[in-house]
Amino acid sequence: MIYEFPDKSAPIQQGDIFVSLPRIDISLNNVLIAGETGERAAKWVEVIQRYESLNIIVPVRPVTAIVATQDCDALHGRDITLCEISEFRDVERKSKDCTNPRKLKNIITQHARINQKWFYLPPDEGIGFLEKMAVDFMVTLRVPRAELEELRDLRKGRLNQIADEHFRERISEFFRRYPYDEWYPLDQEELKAYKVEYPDAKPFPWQQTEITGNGDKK
Amino acid sequence: MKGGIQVNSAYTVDLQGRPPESRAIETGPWSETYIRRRSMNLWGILRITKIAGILLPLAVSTITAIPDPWLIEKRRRDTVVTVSIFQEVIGHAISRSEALIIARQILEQAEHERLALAEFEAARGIQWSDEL
Repeated sequence: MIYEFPDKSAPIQQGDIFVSLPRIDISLNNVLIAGETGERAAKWVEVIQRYESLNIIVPVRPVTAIVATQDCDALHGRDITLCEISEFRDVERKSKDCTNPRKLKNIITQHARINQKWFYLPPDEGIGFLEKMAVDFMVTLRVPRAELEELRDLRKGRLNQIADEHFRERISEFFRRYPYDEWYPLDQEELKAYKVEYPDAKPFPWQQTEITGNGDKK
Repeated sequence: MKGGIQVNSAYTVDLQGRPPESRAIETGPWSETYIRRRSMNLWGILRITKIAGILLPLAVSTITAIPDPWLIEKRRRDTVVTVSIFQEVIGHAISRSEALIIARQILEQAEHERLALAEFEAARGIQWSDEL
């Protein structure tokens, strides 16, 4: 499919796929402090007022992940950032019960242009993907580069050139997104139709002028 | 000579034509007149006493504001005690097994919430029908 399998000695680069890397989850409401005299649970706001640094207990799960750091930084930086890879049906829930190839085709090709939060990875036995997978740009993990280089056995492959170029663009699109209210350019009739589906949408000032029967605004 | 050169020449002549003594005198308005100060009488003594009456309490109050080393030390000791108590009571004590259970719950909750967000996102936007 869209993967290639570099030699173990090849340097780490963007698009490399690793298995069994640690994804850490932290709760700011439940910081588990590992003290000399025992464990304590505290809120992060309490902790930051009294400690410069401390040891905490964090849950960790080994996950599959793809290198997001660009090639130059992946060669020289202290740390490497990766995005978690999960099953496609968990990342894009529109596909969770879908078995229709035509619908799946639409989701994978057309929807991928709209939803910039994931990157589709097709199944491939060589890389160990038995299901449709996706990069979840929302979930990142960070590991020390030098130590990851020592664990290059965990690298199962990398994206081929076409997929890698696409991945590079998609990840940059994801991080350059900005929040906006998509209904801002709608006229009153369009906004009315929009609010049927999204009733929480609040009209902007320029959408609040009503148009009378003779076409005048009031 | 004419034009600018002529003007420059005139200026030069003007500066050089004055003796240094006269220029020093004209450095600014200077009309000092030596008025003799009145000798101090009874009224003057009373006036000074009045001013001293105002200033003395102020001066004394300033002296009392000098940091008291004993007070500082007491405050410092109080702060140390407060901080150590503060650090002792941070959060609440839990057992190792409780910490591990909470850690597990944090992980599962994070995964659950990610899935819930994906569900929310999937409910929005284009809904592809099977007929497409």
